[in-house]
Amino acid sequence: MAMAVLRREGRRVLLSSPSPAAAMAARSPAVSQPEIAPLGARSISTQVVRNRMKSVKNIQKITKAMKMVAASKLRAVQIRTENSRGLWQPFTALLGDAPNVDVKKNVIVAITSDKGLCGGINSTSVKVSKALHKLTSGPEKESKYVILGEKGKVQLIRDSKQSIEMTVSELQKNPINYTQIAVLADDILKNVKFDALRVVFNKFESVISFKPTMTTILSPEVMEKESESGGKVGDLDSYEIEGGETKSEILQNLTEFQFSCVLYNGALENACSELGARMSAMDSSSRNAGDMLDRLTLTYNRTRQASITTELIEIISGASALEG
Amino acid sequence: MKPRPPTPASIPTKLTVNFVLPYKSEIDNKEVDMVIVPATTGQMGVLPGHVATITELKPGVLSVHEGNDVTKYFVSSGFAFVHANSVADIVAVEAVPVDQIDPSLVQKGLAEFTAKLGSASTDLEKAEAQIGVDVHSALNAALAG
Amino acid sequence: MSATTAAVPFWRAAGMTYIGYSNICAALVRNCLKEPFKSEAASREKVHFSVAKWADGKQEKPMLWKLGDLTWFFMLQLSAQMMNKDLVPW
Repeated sequence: MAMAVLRREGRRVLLSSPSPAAAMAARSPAVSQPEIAPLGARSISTQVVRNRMKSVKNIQKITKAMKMVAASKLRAVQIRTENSRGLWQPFTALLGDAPNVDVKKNVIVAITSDKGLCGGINSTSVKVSKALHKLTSGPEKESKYVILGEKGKVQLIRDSKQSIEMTVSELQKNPINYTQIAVLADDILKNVKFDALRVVFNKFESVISFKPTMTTILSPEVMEKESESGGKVGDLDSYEIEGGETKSEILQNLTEFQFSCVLYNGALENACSELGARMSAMDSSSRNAGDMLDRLTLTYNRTRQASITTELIEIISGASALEG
Repeated sequence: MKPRPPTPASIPTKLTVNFVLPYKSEIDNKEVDMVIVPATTGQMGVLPGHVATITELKPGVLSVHEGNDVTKYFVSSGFAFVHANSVADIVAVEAVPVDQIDPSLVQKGLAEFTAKLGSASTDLEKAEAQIGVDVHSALNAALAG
Repeated sequence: MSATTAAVPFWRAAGMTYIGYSNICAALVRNCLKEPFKSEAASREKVHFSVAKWADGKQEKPMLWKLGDLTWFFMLQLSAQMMNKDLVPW
């Protein structure tokens, strides 16, 4: 209350002797913030800085919470991913991996996330898919996209609209299970013609490291051709087919099953990578928010102290003017 | 992926088995004496030194023999690969220990699908009903034997 | 391998892929489990996603796959697809 009275006294003094006070007023804002308080206003407004501090603190709280949520979700998905890693290994042991197979119809299945705020993993997947698309297109060859996840769709719509065959979203509403992916794989197989399917996803190496990976699945006809011509798949001929059906029948079942297993593992790995990337993105976000908060606190204190000093000077000069 | 062992010169004494399901690896690199898989042509026994084979599985019982222990699983469908180096990979979509199956539900399902098979009109319905009958009869046989 | 072409299995002749066949088998087996195994297996059967086909750079109407109990409704979906009908959302 007393301060307020003195302040009002000071204002009258201020109007009579504007120069020292104005000089004070002009100096402090230049030091602290770009918003210059209008000349003649009382104390430098700390309200603006205080508002910023409040919002930055809120952001820090939110990003910390998001990091915790991602960490807890990650633990659950990581277990399932590790369990599913054994699923594709038998297929690779049997059929080998032929990434540089040259075929007419390529379909690139890009697995991305639906939600954002997960760092750069979606951009890396899209970059790899685009590079693959360039590699596999040309005269007599064509390549199409099947996109899982909103983020990939948004990025690929911009320049490759014509090559998109199918998009899938809302995949992560329930925890990913094999049945869901199998139904999806079934849908893809029924609607998209392909000679080779290339699944692009981010493999989960550790909480901070995700490697973009590509798996190739050949259609049964191409597989037969490759096995006859020798090479890695050449060993296929040495296997006896038990079941009395033809080799192509078994191969067809096998490639369909392989696709769904590989897609399942890829979707899980990508989900893990997404959660890990979100954890680290939110972590660095919280840290940045913390740094910003420190800087703002310093500014706030400086501003506050400057305004107190200004007040004191005015009061003292006012008092000395009254005396003498 | 761990590299696979090369084909040995002589027949090994044990078979290395990998039995994987989408949600877990049931058996991982375990050495056993024999496995019997439910191939589409019937129960197929796999011993160490078996010729390299690819076989599709039909709904049935998979048994793993190790010494005197026999572990039985009911497998819904999948594939089994036997490699020349006496490694057997079995990939199944769903596999349950036989004691987790409920006999009353099996009987009910069998009756339902047999009825459906009779009343089916389109090819698709007939196929679905046939699958139902096959699976439930296999479940029945697994519970009995 | 024998040169005689065996007849395709009945399910492939009816338009199912191997994945469809194996999923139906698995769902039927899961249905015949005792409790509590049955309820843990139920979490392995939930399906939910939405697919949109593209033609000429334009997105067509998305189709939502939403299945709780896979056993019966998978077959419904298959038959709906065969007849090109819209899926029954539920």
